[in-house]
Amino acid sequence: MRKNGLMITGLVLLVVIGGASLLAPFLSPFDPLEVRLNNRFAPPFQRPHLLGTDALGRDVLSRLLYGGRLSLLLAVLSTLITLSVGMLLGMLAGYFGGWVDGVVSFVVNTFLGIPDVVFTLALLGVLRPGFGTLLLALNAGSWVGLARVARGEVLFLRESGFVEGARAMGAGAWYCLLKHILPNLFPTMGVLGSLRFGGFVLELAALSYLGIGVQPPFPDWAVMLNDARPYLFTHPHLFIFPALIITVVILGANCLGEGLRDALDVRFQRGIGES
Amino acid sequence: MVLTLLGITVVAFLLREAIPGDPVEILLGKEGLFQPSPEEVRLFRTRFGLDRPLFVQYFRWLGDVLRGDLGRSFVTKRPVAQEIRERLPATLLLALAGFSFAVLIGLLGGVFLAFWSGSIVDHLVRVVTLLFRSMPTFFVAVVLITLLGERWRVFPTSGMGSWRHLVLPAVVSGSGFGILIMRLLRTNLLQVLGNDYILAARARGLSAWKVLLKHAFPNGFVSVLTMFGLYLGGILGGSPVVETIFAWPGAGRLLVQAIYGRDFPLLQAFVLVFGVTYVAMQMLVDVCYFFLNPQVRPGKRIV
Amino acid sequence: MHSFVHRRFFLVVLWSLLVFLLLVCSALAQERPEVIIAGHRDLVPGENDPYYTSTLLHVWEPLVTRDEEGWPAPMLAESWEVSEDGRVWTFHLRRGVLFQDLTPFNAEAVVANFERYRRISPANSPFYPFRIHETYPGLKEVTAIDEYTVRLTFEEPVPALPFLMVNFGSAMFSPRNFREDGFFNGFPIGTGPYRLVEHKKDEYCRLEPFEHYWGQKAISPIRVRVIPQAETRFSALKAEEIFGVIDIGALTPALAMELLKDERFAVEVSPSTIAHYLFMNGSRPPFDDVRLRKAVSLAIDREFIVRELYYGYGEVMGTILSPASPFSVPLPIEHDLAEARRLAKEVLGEKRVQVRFIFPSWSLERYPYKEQAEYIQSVLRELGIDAQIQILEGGAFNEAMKAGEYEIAMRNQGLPNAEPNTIFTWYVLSDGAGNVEYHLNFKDQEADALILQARREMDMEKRFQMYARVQEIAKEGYHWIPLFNNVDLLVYNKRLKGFRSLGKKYDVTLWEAYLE
Repeated sequence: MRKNGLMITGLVLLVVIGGASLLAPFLSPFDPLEVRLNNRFAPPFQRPHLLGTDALGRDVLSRLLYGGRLSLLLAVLSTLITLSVGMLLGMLAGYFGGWVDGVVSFVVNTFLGIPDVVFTLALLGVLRPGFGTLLLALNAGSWVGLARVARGEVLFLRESGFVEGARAMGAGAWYCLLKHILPNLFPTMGVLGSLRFGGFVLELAALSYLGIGVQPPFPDWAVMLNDARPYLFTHPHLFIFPALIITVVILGANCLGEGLRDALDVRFQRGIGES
Repeated sequence: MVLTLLGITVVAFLLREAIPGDPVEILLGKEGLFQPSPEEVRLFRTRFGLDRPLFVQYFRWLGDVLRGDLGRSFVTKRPVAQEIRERLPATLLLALAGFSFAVLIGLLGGVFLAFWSGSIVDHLVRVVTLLFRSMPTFFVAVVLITLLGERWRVFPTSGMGSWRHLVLPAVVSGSGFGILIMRLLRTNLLQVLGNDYILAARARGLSAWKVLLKHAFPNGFVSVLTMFGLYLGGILGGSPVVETIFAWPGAGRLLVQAIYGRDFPLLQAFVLVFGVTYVAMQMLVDVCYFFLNPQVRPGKRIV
Repeated sequence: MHSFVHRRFFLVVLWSLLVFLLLVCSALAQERPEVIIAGHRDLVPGENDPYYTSTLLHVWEPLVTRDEEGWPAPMLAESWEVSEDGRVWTFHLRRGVLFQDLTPFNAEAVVANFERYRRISPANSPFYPFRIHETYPGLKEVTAIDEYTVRLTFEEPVPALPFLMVNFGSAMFSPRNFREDGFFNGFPIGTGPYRLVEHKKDEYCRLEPFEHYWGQKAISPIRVRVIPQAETRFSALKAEEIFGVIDIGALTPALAMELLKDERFAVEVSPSTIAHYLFMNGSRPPFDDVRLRKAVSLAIDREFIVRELYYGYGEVMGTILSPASPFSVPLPIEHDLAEARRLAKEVLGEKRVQVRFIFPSWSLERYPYKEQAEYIQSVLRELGIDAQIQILEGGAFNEAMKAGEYEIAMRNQGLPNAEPNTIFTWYVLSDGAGNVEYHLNFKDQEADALILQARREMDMEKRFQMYARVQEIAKEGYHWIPLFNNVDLLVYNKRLKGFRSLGKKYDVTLWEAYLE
């Protein structure tokens, strides 16, 4: 039960923030796009702008509320996609070996050998900017590492007692995969997935500067972080608030991820101290 | 191995065609501030064979490479091999320093956290490390430079020179990976420690430490090992962000410049070198799997 | 007893003499401490570059340079005159000048350099490309009349030759410095006050004073470090690892402001030829209507942008020609939101229109373009124009401009040389390269005639009038809307003495610099 505290914390954090983002049109005190040139850089913790205003006089709180909508959606989707694709291919390569491994490894090595920026730029050149392109750009390279890690673990898992036992009893490959191997991958995938989640949120900013992703003046947390760069020393509130919220979101995802895994996996409920 | 390398280079060739913009105009145009005349563009194209069909260009390049000629940079006109050779040592130095740092905090931290899992310390470390990782590299670097370089003058703010110059960039470049390793190892150790045979070993009276090292570690180490392979495979690319911020003259910066400047020969050479390193690393990792558990043989077919 | 004392005494005297000598020697051989400055890029592109180093480093000198007002001024050429028909230019060279390999600078050397120009042209460079047919259009012959006189003969009249030759147009090196292909066979050997003694690509270069320099000798050795990130340069200045910054984009306005709050620092403002413009796509609606373009120009408060986003560091422009050019005329800067709204209403009625506003991502490193664009976007909204901002990667940006896939593009533009005809030809001439390629679609017969005529106009006064008129016409076209001129903020530590910016010369007095 102790471990479920983690999952609940994570869930609460994410639901609150996700909910706030969803309800942004109702919660937001100001129009996040409204430029007020006579009110630039208003300091935080004063009415009416509780979190201050930015370089063009726009309300920071409102921008934060709206800023997560695309980030959260994309990060969640991308994490799910990356995990699924990565795990699937990794499992197949690790379990079946032979030519399956050969093909998957070939594809993996190709993606690894070519710098990410090249992929992104090539995508830019071929596709129109849009949600689909964005998704593709975020995910194209990220499933690769996961696939290799999954493959590695599967290689070891298939030699384990459970699997041998199951096969001795005549179980088919898919049964082994689903019942024995997949659940054992969750812990690792959980850690990597929740860390990747944070990565996606931040990567969105980099993509925006290349022409895909959020275009100004729409707010986005990671973009707000980057916009705060010149004012790091002069108006730190512009940097601190988006940074805090991103941290909280990543924390929430991490807690949820590890909490879920703890709840699903009985073995985790014993720490080494209890062994 | 060879097939993979060929594959990678072919894909790279194809991809570079997709990148927006006419590379020759970009090369000659200095960020669009100058108009190269159509004559100049044509001249350049013919001189470097960019007007031939793609597969001809590819085979030409391949032929050159097999003869040991990696071509000349479009931008500096110097041999690509020289360009890369000049910058690689700096990147390797930084990458290895970063890696050492990451391994240090990763392994120690991972074991430590597995030991104290569930405690306040565990949760505290989780929050702090996630805070760290949710900052873009840039901010972490600037904060470190400002505090340690500027205010307290402990380390130089940038550049390459003495060992002191290495510390900040290594910390920045290695910390993200270190945190990853830390959490991964912790999780895997806990996972393994929950296994029955661990319980059995403990029941037999083995100490916690021994259990950890002899039984838990080998199986719990797999993913960490794989991650090491991935990280080391990519070290030649360095970290352009870290190199730019710390004015570190490495290959990462060079690579990014080559991409944005459409310096194709340099880019192709990088891809080749990358490919070789990655593939070599992956093979090494597979060998290490074998050492951890002799029954593991990648590629073995399961019917 | 006696001899002992005597010997003692003798020894003491000897030692004191030695110490005294040592002190004297060290005082004489007092090397000035190295002045360390930094820039965002490597100012030494190297052997395969037409100039090897930037002018800023003063390793080489040109025949003709610029004075602080932007006019051509003598450097290695003391004076010059032109024939009646404008086809023959005679340059009188400075005497007593030595190259850094101690060979004399004379007419023979100049001819050898021109020979080299032919061989290397067209040559690319991160500074300015060298194209002999653009700098010396129709050059027929280069002859040494006597040891210190050189004659350049052209096919057609070139009235503004010195303007074209300024700085990068007439770099002079020792004839022994070149390979077969015309590029360098080693470190550059120029005539400047500094010798390049060490260079580590993308890290730093070291300059040392040239003892036999013909003019005011340099005081201190200089180390120029390469620090690509502005924030890192900021920290390095604060930590006193460097004492000054140099080159374009030396420090962003925000960081400079922050740094100047610290008493240790001061700033030299160096006007640059780089200015910011809005390129308007005149080949399709809605900006094919000059009234709407004018509305855009009137609606933007340039003063606000410079004051708020650039902390006052910049010069607003009413004319398309950067004030760094001596031909620039100060046309009135208009800001009239009411009039802008009226014009917009006239063209659009009650409808709103959507336009694409693009700018390149590389500009974000140096300028607050994002805020600038968002400001302009907010202003345009009031006119009924909904601008969709698109930040594009450099190559993609160029593509979009060439394909005409934009309505407004924001970008900076520098002057390639001191002759405005080049920039007018690109952007004002009806079939000018920039005008056509970027779909500006500006056509004015009077402007065309003036531009072509000015190319041959020998009378400087008349040229001035013609160029003034071209600027007026271009302004009314509102197709290439000037915003403001950039300045470089050379922030430096007050311990660094003698570090001065030289006005429109785009230069810094490195040779006078020393550390206290």
